[in-house]
Amino acid sequence: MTRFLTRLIWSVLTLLGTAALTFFLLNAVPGDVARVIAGSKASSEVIKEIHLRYHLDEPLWKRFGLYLGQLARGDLGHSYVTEQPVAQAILSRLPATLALSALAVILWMALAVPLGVVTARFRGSWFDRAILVVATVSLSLPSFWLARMLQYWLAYKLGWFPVGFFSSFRDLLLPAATLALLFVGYYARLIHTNMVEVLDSPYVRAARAKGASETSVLFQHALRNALIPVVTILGMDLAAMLGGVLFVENVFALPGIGTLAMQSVFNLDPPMIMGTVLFTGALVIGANWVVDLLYGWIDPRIKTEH
Amino acid sequence: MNLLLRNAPVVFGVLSKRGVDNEPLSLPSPRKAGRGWPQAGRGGRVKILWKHCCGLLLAAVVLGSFSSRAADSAAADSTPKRGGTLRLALPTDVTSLDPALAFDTISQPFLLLMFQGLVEYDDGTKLVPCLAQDWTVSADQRSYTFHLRTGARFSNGREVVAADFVYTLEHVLDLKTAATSEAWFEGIDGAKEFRAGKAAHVRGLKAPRDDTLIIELERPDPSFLYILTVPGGLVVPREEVERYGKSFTMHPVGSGPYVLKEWRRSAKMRFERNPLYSHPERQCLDGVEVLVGGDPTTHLMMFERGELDIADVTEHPGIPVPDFVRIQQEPRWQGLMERIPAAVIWYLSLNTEMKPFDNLKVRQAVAYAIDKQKLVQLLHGMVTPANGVLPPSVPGFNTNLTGFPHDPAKARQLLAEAGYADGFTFRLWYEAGNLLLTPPAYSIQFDLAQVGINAQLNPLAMAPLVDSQERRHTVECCLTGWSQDYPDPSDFLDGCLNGNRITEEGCQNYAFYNNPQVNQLLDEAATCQDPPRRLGLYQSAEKIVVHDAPWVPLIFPYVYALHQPWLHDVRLHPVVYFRFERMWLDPRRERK
Repeated sequence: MTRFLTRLIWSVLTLLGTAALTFFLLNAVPGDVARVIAGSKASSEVIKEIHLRYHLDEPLWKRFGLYLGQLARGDLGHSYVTEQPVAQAILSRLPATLALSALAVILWMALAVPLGVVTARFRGSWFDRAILVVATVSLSLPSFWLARMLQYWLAYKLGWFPVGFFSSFRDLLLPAATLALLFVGYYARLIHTNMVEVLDSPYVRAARAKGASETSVLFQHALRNALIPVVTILGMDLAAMLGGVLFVENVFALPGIGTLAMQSVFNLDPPMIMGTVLFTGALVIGANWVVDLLYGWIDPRIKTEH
Repeated sequence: MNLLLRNAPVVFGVLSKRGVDNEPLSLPSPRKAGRGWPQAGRGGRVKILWKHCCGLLLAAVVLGSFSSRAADSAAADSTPKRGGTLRLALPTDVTSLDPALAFDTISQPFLLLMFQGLVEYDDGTKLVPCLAQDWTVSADQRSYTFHLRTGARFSNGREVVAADFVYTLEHVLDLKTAATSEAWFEGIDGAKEFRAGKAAHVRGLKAPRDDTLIIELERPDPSFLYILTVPGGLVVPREEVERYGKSFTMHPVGSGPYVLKEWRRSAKMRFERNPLYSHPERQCLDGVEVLVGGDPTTHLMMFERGELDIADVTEHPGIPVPDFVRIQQEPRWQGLMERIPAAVIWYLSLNTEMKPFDNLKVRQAVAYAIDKQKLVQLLHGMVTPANGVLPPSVPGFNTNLTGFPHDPAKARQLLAEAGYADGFTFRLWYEAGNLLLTPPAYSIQFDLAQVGINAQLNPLAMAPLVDSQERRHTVECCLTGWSQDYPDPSDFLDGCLNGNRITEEGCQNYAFYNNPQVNQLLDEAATCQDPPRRLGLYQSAEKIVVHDAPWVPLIFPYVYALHQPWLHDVRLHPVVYFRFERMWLDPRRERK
């Protein structure tokens, strides 16, 4: 229980730090938000009115305090540009981002696990080397480039997928495949390395000695242990993936949180920027909690220890 | 309108979806028709002969049918058809659909789907009646009496009356609304007192009868009727604005040809016909669907795959430049790309209050040093060189202005005379990531380097850039643009170059140019009631401005509309550009 409380306090402090950093960085950007909201012809009276409405004339610390008070009430505020409640905007875009991310993780893990296991089992073979090359290439690809290339060839030229926009599950396949391709190589190598280490361990030799089948050795005995560090990195990679999601969503015109964040930056819409950053932060923290729970499931020894 | 103060690049990708009553007409099928013929008995020559006769007859019928269809088709191509949903794709959402709050170029075509004002543009820049049937102007040019068209209704069913216009304009002028177009209407008599909270109503707005509206101005303003066309002048019903408050933007109610049926923010907007609208010729389309997201490249791919009806550029190239060149050369798009000069100027603003641009010779040297023809080549002819301030579509455009020709030797000579023989270094500010401005910025940097001037490029995000360039003594030189709000020279010259309008911050005169002679000409023109003389005054002021070179006019862009053959009446308008409510889809053209 104490451990849970400590973890909770640290999570809240992390979010507070994120909020403070984002808030003060945003306010360090030169430019009067009121002028952006009101347009080029707005009179100084209208600008003053907007300053009053959004407390833009108040000292920075006071504004941050007001924002925190608002956050404590569970209110992320309203967009300065569209007047839309920030929470509503984020929630309306959450399904697309979640579906895209989940599908991408499923796709890349479905590819990375067998590739990692097989290359570890046949290490040094031509297949292992070929996968190493593919993994290195996939690691080096920028997300926006890969997204555009896949869109151009598979959607525009061959017509196998829609070019853009989101109307059904099928529309998510190509964007999710893009994200999956970006990560599959890395994870295949990660699983490979861990598997190699585990396959050399005494308990695997013992399993083989007692006559366990190769499939059982690989998938029941070795893989489960090899996956523990992979799950840790998966949790940490969620933040990196959300960065990739931003570009992929934009190329494929998916109405997700990535495009919302991008548009709010272009519009210089502080409440929306704060909202998307905090929400993403909360998502990453939440994902790490889930990863911790998964440890226990993958390796019961961890659950026993704590 | 400051071109940097827009919501997003104004790019539309349009695709259409066949509606229920827009089914393609099926040509008679020979096989189908054949099955309908009576059988000629069993076997034998008679049967063969009969079959041949039938075949010939059938062929004749089918051919005749085809040819008559073709003739019909040719004749009918120009006749507007009802049906079909036009779907647009925008890279970013519109900021608002509340006329009081929307002032970005991206919102305007959608506002005009739903709202109407007292007057509107004809196919050119002439103003014609809209909700006003006619109007009279008093002898002193201060009072306008509008007689409203009877029978016009808001989409909530209530008739539009004069009091609605009084409410609309007071709502715009109310500081609590923080309307983006409020400053346009401050010339109405009593507006200033109302804004200051000293009066409950605007003295100059009167509705003596339901069909009569009187607007009195503080002083004559020849551009006032044009001002009524800006979004703030579009009429809204009081009860709906008060009912929805801030969220009126999500529930807009106007008297235009279409109504908003659905708006999922930053994802999709859908407009459908307003059944209470009385001009069916502006309601050919069943509806308009706007997909939001993606970028111009994605939209162009959709267009080329036949899903899109129009891949469009307005003030900014929505089609990436390399694709633009390719598409211009592809035979299948020949004759399907329309263009019109945009009422936009891109220019180099030289701050006349900051060194070294406070020196006339330095400013002229910069003007001589820049090769505008190269800018035209860089942008593949999507622009024309600018020699003056007023774009070609704005009344008062002066074809005789020659500006400063590209003459590096002359530039070096002027620099030497100004005491800058060894050149100087300055920061050239422009909007980061603006695809239209980035190539010119590099080109200008190169040209200036040829005469010894070191321009350090300073690309900046839109918001801080706008704030900086509107602040006094901050930006020495910026590459920027101005787009008309209405087709009148005052919108460019008075708004951007009148020294009497200089303020410490929020100043549209980025060059902080203050020539008393120009100010006097502009002030005189602002109230001049004689149109030819008024244009003459503006042209005289423009001539002095060009000589003084607070601006180096660079380019006038074109607006482009690339559309599919089945979309008709994509006639670009010189002010509004896109009027979706006047377009129609040909139901007989098969899409991929």
